[in-house]
Amino acid sequence: MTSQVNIIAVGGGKGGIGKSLVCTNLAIGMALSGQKVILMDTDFGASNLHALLGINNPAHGFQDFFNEESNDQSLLIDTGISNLKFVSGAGDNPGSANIDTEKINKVISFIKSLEADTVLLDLGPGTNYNVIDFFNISTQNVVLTTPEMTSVMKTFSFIRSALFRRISLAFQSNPDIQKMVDHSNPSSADIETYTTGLLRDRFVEDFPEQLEEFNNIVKDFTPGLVVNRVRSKKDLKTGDNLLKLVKKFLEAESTYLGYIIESDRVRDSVDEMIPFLIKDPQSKPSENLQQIIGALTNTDLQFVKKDGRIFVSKQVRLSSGWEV
Amino acid sequence: MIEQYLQVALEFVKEIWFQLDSQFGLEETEAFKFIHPYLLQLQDNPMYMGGAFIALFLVPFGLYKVRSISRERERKLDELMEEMEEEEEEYEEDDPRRLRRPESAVETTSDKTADDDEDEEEGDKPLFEKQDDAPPPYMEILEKLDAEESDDELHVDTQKVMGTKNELEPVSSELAEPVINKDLSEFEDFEFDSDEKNDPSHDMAMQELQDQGELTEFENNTLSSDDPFANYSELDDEEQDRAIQELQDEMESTINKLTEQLESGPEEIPSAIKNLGDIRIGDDTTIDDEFTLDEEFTLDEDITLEKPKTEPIPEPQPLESIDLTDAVEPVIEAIEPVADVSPPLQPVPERDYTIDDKPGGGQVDSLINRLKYFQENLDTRFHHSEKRERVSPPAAATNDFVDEHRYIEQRSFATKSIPVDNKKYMEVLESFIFLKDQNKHK
Repeated sequence: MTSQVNIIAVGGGKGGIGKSLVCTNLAIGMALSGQKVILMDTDFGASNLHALLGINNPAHGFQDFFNEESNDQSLLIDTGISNLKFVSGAGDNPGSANIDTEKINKVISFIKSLEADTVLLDLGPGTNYNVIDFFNISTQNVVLTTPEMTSVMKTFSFIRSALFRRISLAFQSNPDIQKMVDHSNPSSADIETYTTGLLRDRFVEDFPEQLEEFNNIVKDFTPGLVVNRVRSKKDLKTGDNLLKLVKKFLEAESTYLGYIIESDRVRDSVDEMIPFLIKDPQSKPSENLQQIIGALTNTDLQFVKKDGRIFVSKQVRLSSGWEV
Repeated sequence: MIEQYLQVALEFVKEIWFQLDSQFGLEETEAFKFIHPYLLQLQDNPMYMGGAFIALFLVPFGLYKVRSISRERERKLDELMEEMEEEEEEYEEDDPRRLRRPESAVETTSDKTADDDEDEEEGDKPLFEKQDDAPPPYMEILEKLDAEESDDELHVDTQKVMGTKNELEPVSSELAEPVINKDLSEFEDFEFDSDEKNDPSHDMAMQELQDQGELTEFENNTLSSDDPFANYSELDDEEQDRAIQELQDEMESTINKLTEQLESGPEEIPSAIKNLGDIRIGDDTTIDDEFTLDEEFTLDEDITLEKPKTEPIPEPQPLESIDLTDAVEPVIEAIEPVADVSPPLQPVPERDYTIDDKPGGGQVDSLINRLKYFQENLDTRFHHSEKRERVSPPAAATNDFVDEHRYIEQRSFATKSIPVDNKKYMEVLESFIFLKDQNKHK
């Protein structure tokens, strides 16, 4: 699961919470700050990332992943933004979301082979394994939620599914453990182990030899949380509450990367097909996004737009350097 | 630099808003939802934003300015009045240069403060009055009317109501209290001042009613010397209560007498219609003297609802054996005479219901009217606030409705909001995430 390239997956259980929008602007921000970034649309079957970038009729799409004739470089589409390339998932043929594990692994191999500083994956909604597997290959996980309770619930389910999938893949050879962590087959699933604590109790009782590995998996799982469409301080608290839930039931150390306030500017940018970080880098949502990028990259970024040109001020956090 | 200041200011404003919102939940209010789109417009358009800020400062400043100007003018007016008073004091009583105003008005003007608007208005009044010693012509008429009606306790002192009388003497010590005086003055205003005395349509209606004999003219009834209400306004509270008690006793005795009369002679109904034959219902037609209402409308005394006759059900007979015509014809014959007697519809003759024609009716009604008036007066005086609370029909109606419909299942359709308390929020969240059986984690 290790890769030379830094992979950031942006996921969340619920659809329509702004995953694509945030992912796109994160990629743009990182690209503007000097990183070589590849943005990839992995929402197969319902891709729309190219629309957010204003790219109509992309030259390549989802089907090209499995075309033997296409090479890696031909899939990368120029976005018009320096340092930013784009891999489109367009080509939404009916049923194309239901690709098998082999194809998923091929795409994952493709992602890991990309030559870039950062690859950003825009995931689809839901908690099916196609989505979760993309999430779990990332070196930095970003889960997105909105303040609504339904969104918080689904995000928690998404994080739990991701953690349990990691455990499941780590202990693929042990069917008894699979029963506890893979509930895809309800007839053989042990639904009594629905939290990390309960799972650990079972590991202590039945699989003490695997307990250390189990603990390491849980320890390494550190998703970062972003709350989108924040309107009040109460909305910010929902992020804290989600972190508490994750800590309490999954015992995972998740981090609060930041939040993005709700703004009509963001919505307008979608209609205009101009990412809001480029359209108005000094707006509040853009500032929020810069803080999130800073949390992900250990830098302090500041974007200023003057005479139609965007100037970037970048300061590396020294403390992070010492830690490294 | 300016951007940094703006940033700090925005952060500060945002923090204030977050605090207010978290404390009071402002964003959930209907008012905020209403103005939210406008606020977004303000945020997007610098022109609107500038206009809003300008309005935000200009409107309160304008209000303050208007207020301060008016206060300044009032202050100048006060100074002017004081100067005039000082000048007047220098002149002699008969000096024509002395400004002729009522003393009370001068006192009121000198005592008023700048903050007391009502007093200021009262103090301003004398400036616009005619500065003439002779009273205005309408005052003479009012005085004349007062003099004519002074011995009637229903009379209201018009000078008192209009505030032109110099000295207002309270009828009792309790009435002298300012709050009660206010209540009484309200009472007087509502009951007599504008509605009855000054309304020409009301006067016309009164005149018509008097012409028709529907209304007794109380004004012409001079009260006897032994009447307990002859000098009602001069009595103190105990005497007033005693007078009311006497009046009630008198009324009860009168009612008892009337009841006895009615019980002793039930056949003689006190009415102006003495003889049915006297009533003319057409040009040449008169009601038959032998016709009695009993024949027409009274039921057979043998028929009682309490004890219905339980006759045995006759055995069914074949239809051929029943003579239907025999059963129907007698009924038709019985109805025919009634049809002959019934007169054609004619206009109802005018009936005289003058109170004087009823034995003791006029006296009783006048006593009842007076009693009602005094009781209402006393209620207004002593239980003004209680009366207002009692007269709250919507609440009573709601309670009645609830009582009547308490058998209806009580269901609340109020919006269930997410609990603000974090602990409760987490509990709710957990309840939605986990199944009912998944309770091992607790």
